[in-house]
Amino acid sequence: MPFTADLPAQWAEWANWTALAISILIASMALRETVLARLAQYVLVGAGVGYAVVLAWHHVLRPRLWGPLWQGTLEEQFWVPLPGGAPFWLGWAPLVLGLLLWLAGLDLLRGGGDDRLGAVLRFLGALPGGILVGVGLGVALAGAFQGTLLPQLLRAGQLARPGIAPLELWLLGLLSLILTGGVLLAWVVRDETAQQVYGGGAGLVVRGWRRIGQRALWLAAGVLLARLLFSRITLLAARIQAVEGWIRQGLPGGGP
Amino acid sequence: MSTFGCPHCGQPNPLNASFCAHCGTDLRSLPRDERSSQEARPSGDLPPAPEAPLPGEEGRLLAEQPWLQPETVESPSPEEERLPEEQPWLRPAQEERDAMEPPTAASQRLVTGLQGLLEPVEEAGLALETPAQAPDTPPPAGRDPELLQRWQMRFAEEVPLADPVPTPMAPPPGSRRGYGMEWIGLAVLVLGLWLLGPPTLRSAPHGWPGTQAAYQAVEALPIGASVLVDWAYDPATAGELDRVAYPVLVHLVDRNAQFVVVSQFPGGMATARRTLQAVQVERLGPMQARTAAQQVVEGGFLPGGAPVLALLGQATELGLPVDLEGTPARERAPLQALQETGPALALVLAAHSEDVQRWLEQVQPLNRVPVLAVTAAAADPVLRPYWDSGQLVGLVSGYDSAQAYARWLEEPLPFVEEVRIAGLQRGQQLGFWLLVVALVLGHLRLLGEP
Amino acid sequence: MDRRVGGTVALVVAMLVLADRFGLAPATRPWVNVLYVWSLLLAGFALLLGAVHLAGVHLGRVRRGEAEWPLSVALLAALAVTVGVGLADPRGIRAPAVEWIFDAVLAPGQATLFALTGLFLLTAIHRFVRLDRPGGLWILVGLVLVAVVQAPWPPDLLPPLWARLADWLLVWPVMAAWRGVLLGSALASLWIGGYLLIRGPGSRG
Repeated sequence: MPFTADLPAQWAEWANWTALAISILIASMALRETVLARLAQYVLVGAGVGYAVVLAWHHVLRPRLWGPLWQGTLEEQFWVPLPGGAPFWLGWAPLVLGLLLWLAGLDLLRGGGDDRLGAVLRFLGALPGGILVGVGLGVALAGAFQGTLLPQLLRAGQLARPGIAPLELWLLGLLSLILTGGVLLAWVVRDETAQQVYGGGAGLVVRGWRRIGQRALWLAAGVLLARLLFSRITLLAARIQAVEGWIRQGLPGGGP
Repeated sequence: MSTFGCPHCGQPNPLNASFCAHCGTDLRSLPRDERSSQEARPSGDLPPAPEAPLPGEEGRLLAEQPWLQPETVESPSPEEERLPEEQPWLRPAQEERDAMEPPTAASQRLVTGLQGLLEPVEEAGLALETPAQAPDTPPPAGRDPELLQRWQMRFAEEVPLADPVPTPMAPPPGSRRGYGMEWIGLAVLVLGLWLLGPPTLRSAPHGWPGTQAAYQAVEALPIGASVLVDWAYDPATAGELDRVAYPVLVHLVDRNAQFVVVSQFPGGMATARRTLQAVQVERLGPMQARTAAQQVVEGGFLPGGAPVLALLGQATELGLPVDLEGTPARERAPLQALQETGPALALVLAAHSEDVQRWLEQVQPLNRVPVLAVTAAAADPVLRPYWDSGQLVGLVSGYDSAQAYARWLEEPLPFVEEVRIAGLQRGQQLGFWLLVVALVLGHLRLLGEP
Repeated sequence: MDRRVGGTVALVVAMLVLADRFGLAPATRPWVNVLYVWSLLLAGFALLLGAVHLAGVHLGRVRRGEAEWPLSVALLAALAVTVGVGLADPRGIRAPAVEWIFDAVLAPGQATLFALTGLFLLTAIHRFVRLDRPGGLWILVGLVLVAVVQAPWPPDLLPPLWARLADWLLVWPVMAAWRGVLLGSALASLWIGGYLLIRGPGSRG
C-alpha cells in the first residue's frame, strides 16, 4: 500500500484483514441482515461522511475561501477580473452565504419551529438556497438545450437528409429517424389517444409509427440490460479477486 | 407554538411538519386532526419501534436544504395521498419541491435518470425499487388525476422492469396473436445466424463500435498534450472502471500526456491517484514513474454539480484551486500548459452515462474540447447518440472494449493486468450461464402458470 | 416570505445564467463565474452541514437509548476518527491515516456494496424478463444477442455474424431509440424548467 508507507508495516497487514472483514460482513447482507452486517454499514457511513468532511475542508473551503481570505490572495484565487476590480465584499460574500446556510440548517436541527427566530433563520437561509436553485436551474436548462436537444435534433435531421450517398447509408439514416420519432411518439401519445385525436389514415400511421418506436425501445432496453449485467458481474468478479488477493497476502508466505 | 409528538421518537414537531425534524420519520400520513390530539412525549416514553425507523431520504434532504422547511413543504392533498408510494414523481407538488432542491452531485439535470429508466440498480439497497423511481419527470399536466393514472399505467405497462410486483402481468387481450409473427421472425433469425455464420477464430473480447475511434483520437494527440480528466467514478465501480481505463491511460502515458484531474465524487481523487500510479509503475517501472507523476495535477474534489462543470467549461483556471494540500498547483507544468493552450482532450471516466452526459451538456458547449468517454459497459447504449452525433470522439465501454483497445497498443499490457483480466473473464463466463439459468427458470415458472 | 425571497433570488440568478450561456449579455460573464464559484463553496458548506446533521441524529439516538444505539456509537466513532485525523494533518486526504481508512474501510465497503447489485440484477431478470410480458420477446432478443457477443467465448465458437449483428443493432436501432428518449427527456427538462421560470420557483402553483 504505497499511500500508507509512512505508517508502521503492521498497519498494512491490518488494512488487509480489516478490508476482508468489511467485505465479508457487507457481502453477508445478500444472505441475511445480521447485527454485524449492520455494524459494517454504520462504520462505512460514518467513515464515508467523515471523509467527505475532510475533503470539503481541504479541497474546497480551505484552499478556495479560508486561506485566500486570510492571506489576501483572493484576486489570485478565484475573483474574476470584474470591471473596476473585485469589490471588497465579494470575497466575504460566500462566507456570509455559507454561514446563513448553516444557520438555516441549525434551525432545522433544533426543530424548525414557527417562532420568530425560526422565521428569521429561514428568511436568511432563503438567499443561499435561492442562489443554489437558480444556478442549478439555469445550467440545467441551458445544458439540456445546448448539449442534448440541439445537437441530437440536428443529427437526426442530417441523417435522413435527401441526397446522402450511398443509398444504404441514407436508408439507415431514414430508419433511425423513423425509430427516433416512434420512440418520441411512444412516450407522449397513447394508443387510444392516437385513435381518438387522429382519425382515419392519419390515426393508423401515428399508431403504427408509435408501435414501431415502442418495439425499438424494448429492444434497446434488452441491450441495455445485457450491458448492465456485464458491468455488475464484472464488479462481482473483481471483488472476489480482491478478497482472494487479501487472503493470499495475509497468509504466511503469501504475497501480492 | 403548537406542536405534536412524532409517533416514532416522541419529539415535538410543528403541526404542519411533513417530516420529523429529529428522526426524519414521514409524518405526511398522519391526519391533521390526529396531530392536534397528540402531545409531545418525553423521550423516555417511546412507542414501540416501527418497521422502518431509519431517517428516509427526504428526512435527510431537509437537513441539507433549509428552504424545504416544514412550513414550505405542504402536506399532500387527499388526491396526492392516493398516489402510490413507489411513484413519488406522480405527486403534483413534487414539481415545486424539485425546484427548491439545490443542485447536488447526484442530480444535475432536471430530468435525471429518465434515460437510466431501465438501470434497475443505482445504489445498493434500492435494487428493485430504482426502475420504478427513475423517471422523476412529472407529467406536464400532472394535476389531472386521469392523466396521472395514465402515466402510472404507462410505466407499469411499457417498462416491464418497472413493475415491482413479482406477480405475472397479464398481457392485453388479443396481444398474443400479435406476437406470433415476432416468434416466427425470431426463429428465422436464430436459424439464419447459425446457417450463414460459419465459426471462425475469435480469441479476443469484442470491441464495440467507438473503440477504434477512441484509439485514433489519443494517437492523434501531440506528444505532451494537456488532457483534462473528469474522474467520475469511485471505489464502488472501480472494479470495472479501473480495467476499462487502464489501456487508455497506458496509451496516454506512452504519449507523455499531462493530466489535470478533477472529480465530483468524494472517493474520486483517491481512486485516480491509485489507478494512475499503478499504470505508471507497471508501464514505466518505479523510477520513471516518479517523473511521470509530475505530469499529473490533482485539480481536487469539486462538489456542487453542474454549475461547477460549467465553470470548468468557461474558466477552467477558476475551477481549480491555487494550493491543494500544501502543493501550489498552478506552478505545475501541466496546469500552466492548460492555461496557455487549453486542454487538447477531455477524458471522462464514468460509471454512469449521466456523468458523461453532464459533461457534454455543461462543459463541451463552452470549451469545444473533444471528449473521449471511457465508461462502464452499462453506460454504452445510452451514450450511442452522442457518439453518433460526434459529440464524443470515441467511446470505450466495458473491459471487453478496453481489451480490444489494448490490442492496438505498441506494447502488450503488463502481465499483472492480463492476470486481472483473466479473472474477470472467468467471472463473465459464470455470469453468462447464471443469466441462462435465470431466464430458463423464469420461463419454467411461466409454463407452470395457467 | 422566505419562500418568496428564495424564489425571486432563484429566478434572477437563473435568468442571469441563461443570458450568459446563450450569449445574450456578455458583460454578465464575470458575475456568472462568481455565481458558479459560490455554488462550489456553498456545496462545501452544505457537506459540512449534512455531517453535522447526521452526527446530531445519531447522538440523539444514543442519548435516548433507542434500538441499535451501539451501532450509532460505532458510526459516530468512525466519523470522529476520520474527521479528527483528516483535519489534524495538513495533508488532508493524503495523510497516511486517512489513506489507510480509505484502503481498509471505504474502498472495500463501497465496492462490496455495489458488487452485490449484480446478484439483485440477476434476480430481477429471473422475475421480470419473460416472454409473457408486453415487449418481453423484444427485450429478450436484445438481451440474449448482446449477452452472447460480450461473453468471453473460447476461440472458434461464435459465428462472426453475431458480433456484426450486435454492432449494427447498437449503432442503428438502439442508438435511434435512445436518441428518442434523450430528446424526450430534454424536452421535458425544458418544459418543466420553463414552467418554473414563468411561475417562479417559489410559487405555490
